[in-house]
Amino acid sequence: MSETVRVFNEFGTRRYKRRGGFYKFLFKIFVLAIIVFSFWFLWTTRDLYPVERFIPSSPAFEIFSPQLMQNYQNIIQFPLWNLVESSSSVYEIKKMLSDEQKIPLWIIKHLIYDFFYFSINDIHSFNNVLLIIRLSRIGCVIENFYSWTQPVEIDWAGGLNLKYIPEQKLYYSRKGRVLLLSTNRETLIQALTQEGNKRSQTILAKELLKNQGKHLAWGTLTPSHERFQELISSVHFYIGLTQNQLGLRCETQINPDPETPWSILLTEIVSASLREPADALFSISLDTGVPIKTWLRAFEVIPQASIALPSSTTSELPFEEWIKSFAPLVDNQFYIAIDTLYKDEIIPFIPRYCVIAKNRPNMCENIIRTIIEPTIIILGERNKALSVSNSNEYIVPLIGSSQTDLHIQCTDEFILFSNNSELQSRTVEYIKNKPLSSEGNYSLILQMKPEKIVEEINDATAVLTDSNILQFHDPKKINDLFNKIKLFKEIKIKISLDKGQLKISGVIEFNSK
Amino acid sequence: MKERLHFFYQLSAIVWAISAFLLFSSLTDAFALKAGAVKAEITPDLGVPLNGYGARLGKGARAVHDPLWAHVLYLADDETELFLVSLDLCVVDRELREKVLLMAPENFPVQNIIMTATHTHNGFGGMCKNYPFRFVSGRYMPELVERTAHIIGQALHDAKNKAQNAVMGYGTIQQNDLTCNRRYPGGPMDPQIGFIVVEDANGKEIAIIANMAGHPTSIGDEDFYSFSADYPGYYYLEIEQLASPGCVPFFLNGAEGNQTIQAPQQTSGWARTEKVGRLLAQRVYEAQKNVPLSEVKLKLTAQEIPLPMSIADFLPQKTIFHSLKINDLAISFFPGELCVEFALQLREYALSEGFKYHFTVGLANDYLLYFVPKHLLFDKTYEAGSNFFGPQAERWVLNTCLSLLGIDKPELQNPSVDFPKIDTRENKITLINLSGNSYEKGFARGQFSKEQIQKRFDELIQKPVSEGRYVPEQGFLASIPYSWINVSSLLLPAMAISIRPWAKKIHPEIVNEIIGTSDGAGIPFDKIWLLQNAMNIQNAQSLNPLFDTPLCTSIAVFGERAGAKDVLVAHTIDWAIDETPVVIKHKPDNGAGFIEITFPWFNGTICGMNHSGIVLSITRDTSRKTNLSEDTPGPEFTLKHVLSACITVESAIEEISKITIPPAYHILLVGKNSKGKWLTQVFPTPKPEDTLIQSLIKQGIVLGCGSIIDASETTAKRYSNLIKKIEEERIISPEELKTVMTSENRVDTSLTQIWNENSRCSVILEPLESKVWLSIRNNEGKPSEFISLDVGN
Repeated sequence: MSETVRVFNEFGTRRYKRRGGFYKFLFKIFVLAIIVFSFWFLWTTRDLYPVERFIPSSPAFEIFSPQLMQNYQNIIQFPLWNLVESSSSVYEIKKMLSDEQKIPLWIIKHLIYDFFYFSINDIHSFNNVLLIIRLSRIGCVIENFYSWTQPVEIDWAGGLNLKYIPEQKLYYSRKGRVLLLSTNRETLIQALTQEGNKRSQTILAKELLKNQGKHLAWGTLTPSHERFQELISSVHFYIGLTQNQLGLRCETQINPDPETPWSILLTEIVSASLREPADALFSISLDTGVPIKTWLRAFEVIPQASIALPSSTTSELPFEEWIKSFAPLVDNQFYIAIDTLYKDEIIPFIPRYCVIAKNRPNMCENIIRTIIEPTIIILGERNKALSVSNSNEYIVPLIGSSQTDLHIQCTDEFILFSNNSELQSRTVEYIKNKPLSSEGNYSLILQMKPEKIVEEINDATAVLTDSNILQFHDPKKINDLFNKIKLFKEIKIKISLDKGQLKISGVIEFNSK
Repeated sequence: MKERLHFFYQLSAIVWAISAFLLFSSLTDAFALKAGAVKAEITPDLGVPLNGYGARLGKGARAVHDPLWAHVLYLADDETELFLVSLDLCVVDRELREKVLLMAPENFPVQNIIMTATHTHNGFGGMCKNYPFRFVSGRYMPELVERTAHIIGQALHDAKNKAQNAVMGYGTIQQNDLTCNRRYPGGPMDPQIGFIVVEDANGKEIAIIANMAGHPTSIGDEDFYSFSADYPGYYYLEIEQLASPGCVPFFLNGAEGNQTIQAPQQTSGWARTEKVGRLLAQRVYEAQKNVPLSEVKLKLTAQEIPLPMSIADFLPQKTIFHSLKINDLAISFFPGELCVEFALQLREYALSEGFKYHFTVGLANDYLLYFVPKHLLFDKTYEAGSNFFGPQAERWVLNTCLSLLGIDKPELQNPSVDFPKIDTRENKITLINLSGNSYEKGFARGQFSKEQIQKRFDELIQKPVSEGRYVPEQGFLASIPYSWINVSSLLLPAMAISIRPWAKKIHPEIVNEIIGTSDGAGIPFDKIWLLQNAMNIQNAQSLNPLFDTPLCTSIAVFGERAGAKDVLVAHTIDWAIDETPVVIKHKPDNGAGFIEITFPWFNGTICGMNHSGIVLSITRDTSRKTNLSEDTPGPEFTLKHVLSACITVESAIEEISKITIPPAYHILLVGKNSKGKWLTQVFPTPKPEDTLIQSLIKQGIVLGCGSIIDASETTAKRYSNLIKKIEEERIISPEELKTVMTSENRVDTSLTQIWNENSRCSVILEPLESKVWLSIRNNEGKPSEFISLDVGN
């Protein structure tokens, strides 16, 4: 028995062990890479800066829309796009947002994650736009990959480290999860470095918080023209959107030249509690703020306005002068409803209308005298208002058959002008039963149904085209225009003017065809 | 024997049967006419618009003065049955007629329903759907059409059901105190009152029909908005009082276009209306007592006739005409308002063809507005302004009415004119040979120029009108958005009617030529006449530079300066439109033969010469704007008349002196006086203080522009160039003139040059030789070689 050096071949085990170690190694590397990547991912996608920090102090136009991509479906399917020519540059925005474009939608969603801001300093040149968006973490990674893989030039810019995309002539910079883009280097640098004159971040943050739940977008527009700037310093606007509705609200302060009669008028005008207008193709509830007489007096001093109240002693008055002679007798509030057209008349465009004006107190006697005393001249024909027996109603025949005669009704409350009994009773009933608006005070509430208005106009012109009296140079163009207008189902606008403070809100309802 | 007797009985039976048949036949023949008449009230509710006056602005009726009626007479003989419907309406609208035809009795031939309106201007409207008629007849109320048609339809059934054996008589009486001419005091009127009486077998009147021509427009301000049948309403009342109970009175208005009622016994207001109606009834009733009543033979012709050419697109293309023959009475029914001259002419033709009486009934079945004889069409009257068919309508009315009565008048037919003989010479020169009277020459010319007339009309009139370039600067028409809409269908007739009276300023023979051109080209006269005045319309509006060019350069050299030729005239036609003038050789039936150089679509003469050596050349300087009402039509039409009518320069001067030459125009006249001496004159005559012109005249040179001082800058420069070139030559021959008039400046082709960018042709006229030399612009814009044309004998 000799001592033999035994060589133990552990090849199999070793191999096994070696193999296991390799995979372990690989796994470790992988885990390490994951950790590094995660670390890098978390590090590079840190939310370092609040967006408010980069918002310019006073651009000519700015719009905020934090919830832009959350409303993506509503935006992309909104009927308003049907009005935009597919060849126009505006349509490119829709194309950009739509899923079929070069940039997949999921990327866009990560790029415009939860904040969108757009501003222009000079509306005319349009060359200093600024876009600020907040990216998701993935969005940040996408940005990184983009800057590595695409021909992006680095612009040191004193340590701001801007990036430039030559193809698009676009500068951008990412600060944490905030991405700033501009066509103008200076604008971008200013946004990144503004310190002294920047807006209060706290206020901006509060505004963002307050508005983002309520509006799709909001912003400010500052008139660029000096003349306008004197009159209106800036307009704040708010936009809301549903599947078929677009809501708009604007607020501004009007500061007219104190030398003009307008400024005096403006300081006097206050809005009031108004009823909603009656249901008709076009209807208005109006509070003039000051008596209509005051308005006319203001017009009188304006050169070329040539609006003057007729002399009360005139026995013969042209129709328009006669109508004006009611001005001193009526109060501030008017309800106007204009409905379908009398297409069977000698002029196929006579609309059915009803105008209700609130009386000034104890004016009924004067009103009746104004109705019946003068001879009214209509297209050279002399007319007198005829009294309807056993009623407080008077009739003045105008152009067309008796169905279009002007009926005037006077009560202690209001004076009514109408050429259609059905609309008249509908409007009176509506005004009587409809409570005053509880939402607030208004100067004007306007309601219109463009779709039906266009249908009426179309039918009225057909009367003339059928008789070979009228032809359209380009019927297709007219038809296209009508079809576009038909997209607007209803427009409702409310305006309040209180001592120069102008608020306009509107809702546009679209047909979802 | 038995057989013979049997044969005899058989023969007797046959003879008796034949006798009985003949007797029965003669009896039935005697009562072949069946008649039934009813009246039905058609007065609608108050508020329904009245018809007849645009001034009512479509307003509705406020009262009923007297009811409105539909009177329906059913007549039938063994071959013909018809309804005569007389309505107290202003017109019979197509919409109403169409509905009434649907309500005719079963198996009734609907074309035999004759519907007429009395033309009361206090009847109701509301039954016309189409514009622009709706502006007068008020809003369109389909329910009113339905209601009225239903009442008339019921009356048709009732009248037919009441039909019984009847006899008929007819005749005429004369009046001069009931109607008169409303447009021309003492002008033509129709003194005839026609009447028809229909009686039953018992001698009771079934219907009494009166036919008289007079506008029922007698109702004044106080009842302007009341329903009333006007004077026919009193005629009905009086007849119903005088005649047997149940007698239905009918009133058929005649050719009342320019006729109205008088004021018998100095009555006024309603008293006048009543007096006319009752006097008419009394006279008709008295007269009808004396007419023999007998069986009558009815012959009704109903035919759809295409309407004459019209500038108004809103008018229909065809309409229904009726003519009714009752033995030797002929009645022509017309779908509009005829002026009385038509009725008088139709009657003359009808009586000459063997008819004893002829009635004209207007406002039947349709409404095509007024029809005015040619000689009154160019007057500024309401009737002429309400005609959209032009002067050819006169012939059309007479032809149509007479042919329906079976009367053929060759003199009323359009003459057959051959296509003109065209010589196309070298260098694009087109020589058109025209012969015959003015109309025939115009017709031939129209045939030749049809396409060019239409093209120029579209370019110079239709397009600017549809684009809103020819509209008043203020008012409703100015506010129309022409970039969107085209209302030329309305504007063109309005323009045509406005300028039609200008034709009165030119010689009637030239108007006849234009009418001929219209017929030859198949384009309405109003369009052709608008085109003839396009230059001045354009210039007056100053909207289009198309015509803003000097038109022509002309010069005459005479005396020693013209050498052996005595006198020479040269003319270059400048024209902004790229078109080639044509030469027209006239060989008129009467007057002088002549050559004119003009454009194919233009009936005026720009330059020409006649057999007697009268040369006329017209130039125009558009720096002076046209006053449309005073300056149109241009003098080109008078020039043509002078060439065709004048053989001495004195007579030419006399003719030219009759017209006012607009400031933009100058006329150069050359011709021999009665002593055989050549004279040259330019109109307006140059001022004596214009030393340059006076000195040129002394040198034997007369410029077509009259004066250089007063001419526009461009024209002055052009003529200065011309003077410079002419003054170089002591004696000027035709060859030298040719060189001068076609001299070009290679660098400057502006209008300051004699042959310029707009020059279309150059003409040299040698009156002594009756020779015309002509050079036409070739494709390169250069003048071609001159070729000669003889004026001929």
